[in-house]
Amino acid sequence: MAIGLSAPAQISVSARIEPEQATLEDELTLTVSIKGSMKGSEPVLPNMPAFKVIASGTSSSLQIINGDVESRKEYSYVLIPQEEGTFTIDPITLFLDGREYKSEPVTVTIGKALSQSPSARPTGPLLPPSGFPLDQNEPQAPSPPFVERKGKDYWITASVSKKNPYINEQILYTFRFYTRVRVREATLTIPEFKDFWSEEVVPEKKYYREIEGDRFVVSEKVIALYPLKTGEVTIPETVLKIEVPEGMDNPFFNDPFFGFGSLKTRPKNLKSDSLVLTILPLPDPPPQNFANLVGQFQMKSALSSRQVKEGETTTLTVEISGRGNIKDAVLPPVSLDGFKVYDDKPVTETVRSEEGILGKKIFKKALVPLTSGELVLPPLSLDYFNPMTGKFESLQTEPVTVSVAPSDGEQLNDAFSQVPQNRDWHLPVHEEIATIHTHPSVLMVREPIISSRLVLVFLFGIPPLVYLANLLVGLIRLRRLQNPQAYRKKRAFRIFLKNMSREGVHDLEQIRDYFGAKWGLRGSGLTTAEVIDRLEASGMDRNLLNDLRSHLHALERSSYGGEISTPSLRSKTVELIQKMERKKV
Amino acid sequence: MKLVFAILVLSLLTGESVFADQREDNFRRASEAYYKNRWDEALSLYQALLKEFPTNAHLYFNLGNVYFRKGEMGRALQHYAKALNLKPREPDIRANLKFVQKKTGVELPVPFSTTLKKNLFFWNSYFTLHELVLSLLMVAAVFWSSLTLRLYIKRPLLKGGVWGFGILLALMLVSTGIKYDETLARRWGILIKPEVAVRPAYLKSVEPFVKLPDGAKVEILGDQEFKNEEKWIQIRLPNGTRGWILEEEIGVI
Repeated sequence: MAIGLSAPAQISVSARIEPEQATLEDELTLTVSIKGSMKGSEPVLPNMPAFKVIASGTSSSLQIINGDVESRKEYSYVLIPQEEGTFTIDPITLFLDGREYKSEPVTVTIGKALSQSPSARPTGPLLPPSGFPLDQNEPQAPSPPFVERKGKDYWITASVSKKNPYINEQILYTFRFYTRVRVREATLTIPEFKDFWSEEVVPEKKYYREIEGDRFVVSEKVIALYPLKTGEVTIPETVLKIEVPEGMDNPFFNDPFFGFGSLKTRPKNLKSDSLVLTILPLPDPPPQNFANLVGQFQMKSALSSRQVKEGETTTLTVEISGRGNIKDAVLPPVSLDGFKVYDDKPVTETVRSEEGILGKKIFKKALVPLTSGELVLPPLSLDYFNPMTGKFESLQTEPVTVSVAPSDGEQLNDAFSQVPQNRDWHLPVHEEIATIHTHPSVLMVREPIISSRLVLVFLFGIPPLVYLANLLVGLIRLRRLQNPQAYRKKRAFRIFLKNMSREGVHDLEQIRDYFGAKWGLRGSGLTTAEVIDRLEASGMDRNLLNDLRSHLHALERSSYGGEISTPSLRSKTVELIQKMERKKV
Repeated sequence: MKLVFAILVLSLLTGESVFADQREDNFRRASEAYYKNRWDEALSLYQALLKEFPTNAHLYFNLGNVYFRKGEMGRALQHYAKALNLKPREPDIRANLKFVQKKTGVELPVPFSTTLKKNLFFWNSYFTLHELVLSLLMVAAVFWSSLTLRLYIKRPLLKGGVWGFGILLALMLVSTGIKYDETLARRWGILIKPEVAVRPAYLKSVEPFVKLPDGAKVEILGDQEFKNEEKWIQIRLPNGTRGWILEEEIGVI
């Protein structure tokens, strides 16, 4: 669609702020409208020290009414109030085609951070902020602090358990969000505790609380802080950004059945007060065995075995437990003459509770007595600072005696004997693990590994094949034994041919034997006439029968004449029996 | 020049022995470094030797000790496990593996079927697959031979022998099958980094559902390259749960 644009409309810049009356918790929207032009650079905003300004986008529109073209471009900004008062936002300037256009100044009034007046309170049921599941049966918070509502429906607080702690002392920073209205998209910005070492104690806890007759949901977060420097330090304010529904004075909109739905929400920035703490130094000078441990602690030690043999291991376990900077705990130095000592990595276990972080650190040392006799483990001493009393206190374990029996002289590990004795390095008397294998001969040991599956298949396959072959032979033999006549019949022709290939055999005799085998009779007992009769009875082909008859007579004549057979007769014999075999006599 | 010639002649005369001497020397140097607590030097020397003797259980064992000394318990367990696969009855290897396992305290829940298999075929842990296969081969040969003899000789003793060897063969067949499944058909690994996060998908942005300590033994199912940067390995925990970890967090055994 082509639109013929006529002369551009008059260019004008206007600014509006919404709402014109707000509180410190509100976010305001400043909209700058440029009418009559879609081009040009972004408008120049005046200095606004009372607000934090965040650009939130642009939009443009083009309208044609009765042939007149009206273009409009809007720039939006979010203003977050930083102080109370009535402020005039100076004209906003637009530079376009060498000309300067200005908007009218706008005025806005920012009041105290008083969220809602009591009259605006919704009467709908209480709901926790969305995204914060709440157990309806959850008990009330134990010993809640006194809270003054001041007519608000939602607010935040931040506090510390002690305003003047000692350096390294554990204090608790507690953030609480109180609300009796449904809240969406709560975003918490915890300050950076740059002068502290911090550790989360309670990630998030929710409970109900009655305040001035109304039921509030309280979301609580607790962080343990350990001051790292002395003097005055400030914890900046905590900020919680939430979305609350507009028109909260109408209970219908706050009904849990409808939820937010398409209800328009309004962002709110809730801020806690910043906290000023005075961190106290520890008394000077610290005792000898003090290693920055501040809190309340106990120490105990135990030995896995008090009776060992020379070269055997016993484990010394020292446990330091209590409330405070337990992670900083180090094992006090101890002289363990007469033992070879292997340190284990210390293990720290912590428990997070309402009172803060409690924990214990366990140190383990494997001790190997180097000589036999009564060896004494001296007491361990540890100094720490107790902020409750404001004094350094000492902990001490009892001395322990270990009875070391002489070694039975056996080598602990044969591997030691493999180590060349002329080496200049020092061998440990004992290792808790079997030592390395050092003899060069071990280098040549190669573990056999099955590499060829084909070989395996072959090796596994041969014995069953041998068995199957034998089984087959056995079966054949068995069959022969069970039915010798059938076997004879089946092999008659093969035996006939085999015999006919020999010299000095009578053709007639072989023919009789062949038919004898075929009919299960003794071949020598058959006469030529019987053979012909039997063949005739079996329905043998007439021509073949005549040929056989005449051949048999020829053979008889030859036999009576004293001849065994002529080559021509022999070939005829074989030919005829072959034909008989084909006819399945 | 004369020296070069001399070495050349020596090499030609002695064949491999010059190199063998060098390897032995490296082996001694590695042991020396170990006893002087120069773990990294010992490590690199043993690793270089391992390239030449990839099936030497003693080298894996020594490497396990070096890693133990370095405090890398997962790596130590990985090398002990490799050594044990090659030499399952070596007491030093068994002792050190047990010691480090106890020290790390890693014990993942194992399904009943695995425990049952382990207890029923308890001897499997004392033999390599190679040994089991050879035994199976021998038993199979005896069984088939006795079965073949039985075709010709009908003696009750031989019949009993056939039955006995038949049962033994079936038992060994199952035993070897299980060993094959454990060692060759499946791939195993040991977690070598502390607190290995196991995720349901191969993305770092996905929250892990469990964190496992180093030294835990898991089954390796497969791998997946991601964005050509990270290589993820899919694992199965002893309770059957599947998950993904980064390749550098696991050592194959």
